[in-house]
Amino acid sequence: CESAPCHIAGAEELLACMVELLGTQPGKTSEDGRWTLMTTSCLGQCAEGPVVVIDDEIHSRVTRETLPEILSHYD
Amino acid sequence: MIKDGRTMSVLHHIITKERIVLRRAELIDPERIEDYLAEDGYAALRKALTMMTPQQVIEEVQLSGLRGRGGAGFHTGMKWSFVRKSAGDTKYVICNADESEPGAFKDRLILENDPHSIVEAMAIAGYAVGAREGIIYIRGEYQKSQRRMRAAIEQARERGFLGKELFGTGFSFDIHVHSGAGGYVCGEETALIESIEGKRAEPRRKPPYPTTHGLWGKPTLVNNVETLANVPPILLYGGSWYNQIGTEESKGTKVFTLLGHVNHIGYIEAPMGVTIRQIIDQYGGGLPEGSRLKLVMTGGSSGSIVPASLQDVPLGYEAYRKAGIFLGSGSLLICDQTVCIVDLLRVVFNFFSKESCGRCAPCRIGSRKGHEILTRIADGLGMPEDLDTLASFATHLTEGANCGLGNAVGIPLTGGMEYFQDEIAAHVMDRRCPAGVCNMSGILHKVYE
Repeated sequence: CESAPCHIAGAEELLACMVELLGTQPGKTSEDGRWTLMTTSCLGQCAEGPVVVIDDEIHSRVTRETLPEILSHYD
Repeated sequence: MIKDGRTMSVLHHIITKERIVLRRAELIDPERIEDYLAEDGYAALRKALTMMTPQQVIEEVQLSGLRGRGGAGFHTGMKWSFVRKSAGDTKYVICNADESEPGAFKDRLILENDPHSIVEAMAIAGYAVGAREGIIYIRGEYQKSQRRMRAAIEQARERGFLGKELFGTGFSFDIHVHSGAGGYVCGEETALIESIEGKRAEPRRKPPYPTTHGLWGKPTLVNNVETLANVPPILLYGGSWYNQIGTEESKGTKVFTLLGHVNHIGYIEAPMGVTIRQIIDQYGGGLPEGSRLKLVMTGGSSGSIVPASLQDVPLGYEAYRKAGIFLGSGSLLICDQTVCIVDLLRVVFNFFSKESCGRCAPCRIGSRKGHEILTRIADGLGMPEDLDTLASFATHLTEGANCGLGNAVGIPLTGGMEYFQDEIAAHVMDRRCPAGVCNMSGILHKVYE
């Protein structure tokens, strides 16, 4: 989510981290076709930001530290 | 920006004696109608149908002084009376559960924690205005809310609180859930109606208003979730009880969501008239060590930029007229000295440029161009003319947009330029971001994906 409350909670740094880890820019799909990275507007989970949705699962309070582990669940 | 290592505890504050719409939250199992019934569940509907006429129900709501909690603040009783008076045998009640304002999750709290309260409120509204059918439009992303609401409706039908001839009277009412599919503009009541009708969600030209020509051209009552949640207590305890709570122009309580640089992030329900300082200190646990209050964004991304100097203004609908503080959804984004006004406005304009339906030029062009200009300023490439352009956008958006979304784009911009003029000017004239946030690299960011 890239709206104001998640932004204040650190969404931009998180997005930069995701670009690194997934190897793709926002709006694009990775070379191996496994990941598409999108930014989205407020999902209404603002007390638990930064929020990341992977397929249908909402992940709350995601940080640079917890992100790799979360992504590994989709291997 | 959040500094590494700073932890924010998330607490849900409960002020028991002042809770109205969230009085059952976390006390009952929302998936059990038995729990709801044990806590006055459907008692208000029974009272309305067996002891009151539709006109008396409307009068009680009018007496309460309840105003719309979606952001517009229109007098609820008056809206109900308009729909009642509209000619026609077929009318609709729509609950607007599209909640998409950044920072707002108050409706989700009600939908997830007390879904039956909305079922009951809609049936009461249907009785009052003469509608037999209700629709709850829930945003597609709120899957848990949709699931719980569908379950509540099914349970209500089984027990005879929805369906034919409720409580043995001649009044029949049923509800179904309609799922949205994304789109902030669907929260605008006429765009929402277009969406239900299977059309592209664009706000209609008004007048006519939904109260006379709404869904399928029929008289339609559209109310926000939180607005409706106030109705059963008003009928049970009386409009004059409700009227005693709050301020002169803003009655009852409000659910505020508290976010950003504050120790306790979460939500509180407090009487109207509470101040930002009281919310931060008494309920928010104050600001973290090292943080100084710089500004609060009230209402959401379509809300006001409120400097610390205005933190003692009582919050309510009148705060906009008196101090330029837009209550909106009731969300409060607390920002300390690490937040840059240019960066914040850039994020806000990014939101609007993506969410604008595109129908009217001020919003379609203003949101996109505004985002481009703010991005350029944050990249250290701002020019003096940019400040004039932004000022003119604020005027055009406020005066020329076709709907509330477009009008609202101008609100944070106006506030930012009024209270943080020097900070914005420093980016343009001195090529410097005082808060140390903007990259100021002199290289233009690619704006769109």
